[in-house]
Amino acid sequence: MASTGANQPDRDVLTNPAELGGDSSVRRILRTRVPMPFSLRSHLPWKRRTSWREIILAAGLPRMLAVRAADVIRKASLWPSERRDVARELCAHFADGLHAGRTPEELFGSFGAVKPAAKLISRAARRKRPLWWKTWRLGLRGAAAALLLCAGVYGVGFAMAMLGTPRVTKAYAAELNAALTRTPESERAWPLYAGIRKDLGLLPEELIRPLKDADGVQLTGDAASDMWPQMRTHGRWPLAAAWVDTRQGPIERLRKAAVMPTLGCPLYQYKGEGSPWEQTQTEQGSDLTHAMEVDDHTSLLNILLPFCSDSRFLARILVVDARRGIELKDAPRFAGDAEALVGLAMQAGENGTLIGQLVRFAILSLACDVIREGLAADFLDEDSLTRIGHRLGATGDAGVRVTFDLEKKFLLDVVQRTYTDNGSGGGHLTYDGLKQMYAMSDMSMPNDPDAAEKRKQRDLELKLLSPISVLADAGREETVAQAEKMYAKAQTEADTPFWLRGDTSTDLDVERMNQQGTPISRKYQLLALLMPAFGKAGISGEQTRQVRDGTVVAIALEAYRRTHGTYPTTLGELAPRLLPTVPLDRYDGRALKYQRVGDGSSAKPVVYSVGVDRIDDGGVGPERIGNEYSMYVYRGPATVKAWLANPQMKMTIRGDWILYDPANLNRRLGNASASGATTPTSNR
Amino acid sequence: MSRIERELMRGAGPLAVLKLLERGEMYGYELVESLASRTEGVLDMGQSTLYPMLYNLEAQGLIEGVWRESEQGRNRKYYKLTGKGKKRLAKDTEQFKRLSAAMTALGVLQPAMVAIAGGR
Repeated sequence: MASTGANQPDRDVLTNPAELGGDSSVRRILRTRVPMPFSLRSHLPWKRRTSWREIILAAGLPRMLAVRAADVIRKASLWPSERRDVARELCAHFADGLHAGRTPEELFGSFGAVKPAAKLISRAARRKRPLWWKTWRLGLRGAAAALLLCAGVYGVGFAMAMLGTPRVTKAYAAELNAALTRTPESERAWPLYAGIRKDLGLLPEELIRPLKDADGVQLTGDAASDMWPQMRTHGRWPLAAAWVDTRQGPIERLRKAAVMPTLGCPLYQYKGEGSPWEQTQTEQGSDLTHAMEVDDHTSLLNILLPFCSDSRFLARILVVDARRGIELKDAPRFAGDAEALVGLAMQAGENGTLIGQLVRFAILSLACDVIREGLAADFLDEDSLTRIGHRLGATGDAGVRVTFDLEKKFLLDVVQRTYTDNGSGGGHLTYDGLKQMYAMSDMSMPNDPDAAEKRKQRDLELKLLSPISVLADAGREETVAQAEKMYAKAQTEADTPFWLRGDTSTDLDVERMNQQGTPISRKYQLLALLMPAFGKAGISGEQTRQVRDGTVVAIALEAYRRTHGTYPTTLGELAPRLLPTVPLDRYDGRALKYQRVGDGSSAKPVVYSVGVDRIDDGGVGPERIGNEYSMYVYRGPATVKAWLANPQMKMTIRGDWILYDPANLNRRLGNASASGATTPTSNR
Repeated sequence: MSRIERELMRGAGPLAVLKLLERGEMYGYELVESLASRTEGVLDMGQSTLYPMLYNLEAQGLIEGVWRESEQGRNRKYYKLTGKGKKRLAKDTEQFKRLSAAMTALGVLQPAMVAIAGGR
């Protein structure tokens, strides 16, 4: 650029580049020239360009104008090429003005403010920039805005999670405990069990250690599978029989306690975090040294159900003693044990928990197995039959019906400890609540030495993720509404007999909710964590009902034979004297099926259900040995149709569900003396 | 400068520049001087306003700047109207005329002022 300052005094011309001001630190670093040998520099494909400062200096402008131009350029955020252009244009402008006779002061005064000029020039320069730069800038701004939005939303979620406090308004555990312990202690069975357990003592080591052969190899199969020998075919049965023989005192007290109408077992809770209670919990039953009864603050989430393990332990003793009764043909002893087993089952489900009800079904099924063995052994007198029949019949619909009432309370209790409460049913998740929800996993690691460290780590993760959980969650009102809907559906399903059921199950809803990372599992986090397998519980109730009904029919059949000397030709002959009505086959909704095999007084009965395939095979059991379990498991009509069309799957469900077949039962148990005609139920 | 004046300048400034360039190419200083002298100082805008305005018009493709050496031997950036600029000038002039007519009808402007606004 040619010098335009020829008509200005030399003293006014700016010659020192330092007066043009420096760049920012960042810009200086970016502009630092990398030292390199001259020979190399001369071979570079680009040449160094003149800087905007050099352009201003070269213009030879009076100091005030040069500085003014430099001020504008420095303050404008421009690319180097844009700076050079602006420098050239401003210098040309001032040079034209000076050439036109204007003084530097006039030009300086008419220039205008530096800051707005720099801003406007920057804006104009940006408009001129290429499309790729504009797109990139827009993207960058969009990303920044999205980030800001996310941070804002996260902040709101964090505040909601951390500032919200759940409010406990109802002491569900204390209320339930009060109901369970309302009966005077003298009329409750629970206080008796402590003394009975103490007097029974621990099971001897030789009974519970794994059964090994002569070479020390652990045996497997039916003969060795029990925790302690409950079957007369077990290798150590004589030891078990001798053990119960020596404990008839406490066992007799157990029989009396088990038939009491009320268990009255209080709800217990851990005394504190890390209690060694679980470590002392064994198959022998509960040790409540480190537990205490619930109070007004106890969550239903933290209750202990010691009778669930106690009842299983006591049931096994009664089973062994009942089988010992069969062995000794001691009818009163057997009948007492059978009655006690039924009573124990009813007591186990008294607290209304789902686990309690499942234990009830398990013990009731066990009782029915033992009763049918006793019936098949043909040693029971009429009085024993009547006692057992009445006790079993008294279990009624309630004894085999699953209810989810307490599970619902359990959920509502967790909700009130997890969500805030706006007073009208609404509220949101809180960090404290989430911590409590996930603390449930602690119960699986009481012996883990790193538990404290893991808990700390989990709490930190939870704190960071809690805003997302809070915002993704459906909220208190919707969560409770969804739970109510699921409980209602599950209850309807559980109350529907197999013959009216379809192919869908509430369990599918629960499974869908349990699939981690899905929108529904995030929406209903609490339900995903807490909802039980409703459908399986309902199926268990129906199965137990069928087993129980089959056993009641078996008792009636044996009672009939004692009177008439032979079994009836149809089950209808049992009603109404021995049975109010003939129970229904849960798979087809008609009367239970019956066959009388053989002639005259040697004829033997077979009581059965058509089973899962819904086909009456005339009392013939499963095709495959050991496949009896498949007859119990409910499958929907569509599944059955598909399986029957598939030769492989067909084998797993074909055959009837045999409920009472004394001839085959005796043969299996080795009661040769009591067995008679062979029935068609031998596996084909 | 009041807010209303600023707004008026924002609308009138670019139109005035386009109008000046209609006659032929001009460089920055020449534009400043012409605007000041021909509008009796009403549109006497400083360089701090003119150059950003020129860059904006250039960014919109309404004018085009070319560096060239003048007869005096100095390098200058000469601006000229583009085809797009001519269309915009015609459109904005028409709008301005309608606005002036409306203002005159309301008695805000005198006919003599309208003559100036109309470019006569």
